Amino acid sequence: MGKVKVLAIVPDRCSQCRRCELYCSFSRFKIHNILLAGIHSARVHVDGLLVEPSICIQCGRCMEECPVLGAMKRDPKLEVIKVTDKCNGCGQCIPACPFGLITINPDTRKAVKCDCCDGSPECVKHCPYHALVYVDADKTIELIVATRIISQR
Amino acid sequence: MKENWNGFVGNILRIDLTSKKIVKSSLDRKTARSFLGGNGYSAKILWDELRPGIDPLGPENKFIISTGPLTGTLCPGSDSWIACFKSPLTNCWGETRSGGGFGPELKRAGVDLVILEGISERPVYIWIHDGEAEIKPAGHLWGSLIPKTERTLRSEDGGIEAKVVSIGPAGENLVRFASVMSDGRAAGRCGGGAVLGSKKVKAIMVRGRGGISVAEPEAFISVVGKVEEGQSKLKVCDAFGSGTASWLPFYDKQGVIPTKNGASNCWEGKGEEFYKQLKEKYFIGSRACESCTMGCGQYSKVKEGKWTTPVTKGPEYETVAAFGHYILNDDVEALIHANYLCNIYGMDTISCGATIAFAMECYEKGWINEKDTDGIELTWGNMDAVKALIEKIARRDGFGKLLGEGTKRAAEKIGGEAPEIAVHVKGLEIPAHDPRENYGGKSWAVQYGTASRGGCHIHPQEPTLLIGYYEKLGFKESDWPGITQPLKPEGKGKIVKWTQDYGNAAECMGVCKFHSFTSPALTPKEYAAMLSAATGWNIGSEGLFKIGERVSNLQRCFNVREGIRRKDDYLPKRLCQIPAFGPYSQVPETAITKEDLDAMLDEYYEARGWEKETGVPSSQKLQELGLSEEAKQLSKYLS
Repeated sequence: MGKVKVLAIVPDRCSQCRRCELYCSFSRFKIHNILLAGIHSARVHVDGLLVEPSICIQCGRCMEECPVLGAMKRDPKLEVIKVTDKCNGCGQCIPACPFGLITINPDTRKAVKCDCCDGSPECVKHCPYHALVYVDADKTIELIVATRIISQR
Repeated sequence: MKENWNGFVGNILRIDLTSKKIVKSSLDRKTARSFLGGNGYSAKILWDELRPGIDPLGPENKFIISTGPLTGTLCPGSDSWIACFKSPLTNCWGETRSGGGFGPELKRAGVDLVILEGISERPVYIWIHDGEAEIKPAGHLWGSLIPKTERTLRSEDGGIEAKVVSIGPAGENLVRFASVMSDGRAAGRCGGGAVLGSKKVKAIMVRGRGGISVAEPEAFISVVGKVEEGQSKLKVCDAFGSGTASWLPFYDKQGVIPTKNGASNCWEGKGEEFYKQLKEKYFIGSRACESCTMGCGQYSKVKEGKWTTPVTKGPEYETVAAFGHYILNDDVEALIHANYLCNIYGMDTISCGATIAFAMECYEKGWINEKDTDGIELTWGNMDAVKALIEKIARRDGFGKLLGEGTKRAAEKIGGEAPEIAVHVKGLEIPAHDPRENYGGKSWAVQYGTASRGGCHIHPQEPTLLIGYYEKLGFKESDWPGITQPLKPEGKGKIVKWTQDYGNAAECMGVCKFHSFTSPALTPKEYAAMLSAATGWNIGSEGLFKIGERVSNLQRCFNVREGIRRKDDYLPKRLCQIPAFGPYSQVPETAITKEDLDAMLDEYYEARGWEKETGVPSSQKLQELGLSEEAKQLSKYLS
């Protein structure tokens, strides 16, 4: 069995262009709607520079709070939590998410969250600044520390 | 029933500040098909609704904020919002655009266009959230600087993700080149800030959570993907990514930067030195506008010393030139500080630097003295004087009151020979693309002369787009006579017509024109494909140019109605003379004679189908563009 990959962000590279959010919603719902994105690249604009990108770390709190059996499922291969057809859009997962990344799609009445696009995340493929990466879990720390050192030279 | 719109979101908000009435209506499908959005749709509204000759700072002027059908989509660089109004600086067509996130946010709030009309008695701000609008009191914000305004509004109402456009003290005090600021970015030119100030509108804040749909998602995303991939391989994208200031070394060598109030076209080696210092010491990071793949916006900071400056957006190329070359200042820290002051007071850096440069020359020549300048010693490169002046201009205090009128009016007031050294077209100060340079060359003379908003390089578009990239755009050298001879007048009229139409099409679509420079990844063909897929209308690249041409013509009609004719399309004397110093002072071909200008304008009007003697669009041309009604109104006005 291969190593588990995770979605990670290198904050110093993020330029707040929000293309990840647009791609996330567009690839799933064919509409530009950042509310329906499972990622937020540009949560904070304090006089321009501070960024606090939010990505889903698949912590599972949404699943813990979910009252409907089987509405959320952990994919054992990708280690991601997926929303299934059983979801009834009750919305209890919304406050459970520590990053505020879950919404209910008003059209489908189902929760929307990051599922890493079945192992090839659209946001990573299309990030113009290479700020988003999908890497082996044990590589993320090295990567982020390395870019921090470079950018603080 | 809700109308079905793709690309557009389909709504106009009309806000009457006098009666405090807000009316929401649908976009007109026919107008949108002919003009798209942006400065095209706005041109139609202003043509229909403004009476010629009105006071730009009076209640009759309107301020329209618009977006285009591609704004807020995945089309690279689709981040525009553009404001259109009658300019208090030029008394003719005024438009000013910026990127950031305001345009996309406005569309997410379900609004394509906001029309502000009338005048409020007391200071107000407009709060637009998810399609609803409120007029709220802004007395407590009146007088505050831009960063404080944005912070206060977000903490009071909007929340951290709300987008704000606002004016600073300069706009409130009706400085004629006051800018409209948003997230550190400036919609600087033409004095939009003063129009908002006259209406007593301190800010417009918007928050939206809606979506923007496209008609053919598969087709749309496939073009976007191709463009992205093409762009990622282009060197020009990296260059933009280093900030516009990275052009300084090259432009200085080519003689692109007017120096010492336009006496010369370069300040040897300074461009390179400025950029080196900025890059090594002062730039601390960059931020992209929404949906941009290049991310040109640099931020700078001066940590300590006399010119200590907090984190601020810029300085961009134009600002470095305006507070460097224009006024002979070589202190980069002082330059960054001047940029910061203009940003927080809400003033256009180009016009501000150019007006101060003009005043410095008047001071040197003895036409004004310390009595006029409130004791300020206005010598070249004196940055203490510049700092004092910026504050005086923003507050319209003493000598600043005169300079806050802009170069043209200040020159008329000073009188004598002063108008001879005033570097502007139609009242708009010339940016840092000298027509005596060796790259775009004399095409700038036509662009400055004929651009709807006056002496501007990028509205509608830089002629160097075609000159530098004609092969990548699929043309041969033989298609464009004179394209490789920048200092010859031949062919410049046609080149400028093409770039202007392309530029106006981009403005109407709501995209950033820097991305036009990423051909062959993004050419008119790709734009047309994305636009067609987004709107569901079949618009080829020819159709796109037709729209651009229609907008260019309607804006010209607007200007003709305000009294603009051929005589107003000439360059200021200063920029026609051989540079007084520097390497280009040895190149006699840099001179632009009356004959050159006449020949180029003739060629331009002919390419446009306008009357050569007057520069008025012919009825035939207007009818051909589907502007028959406008042609009738124009001829009625002219008779």
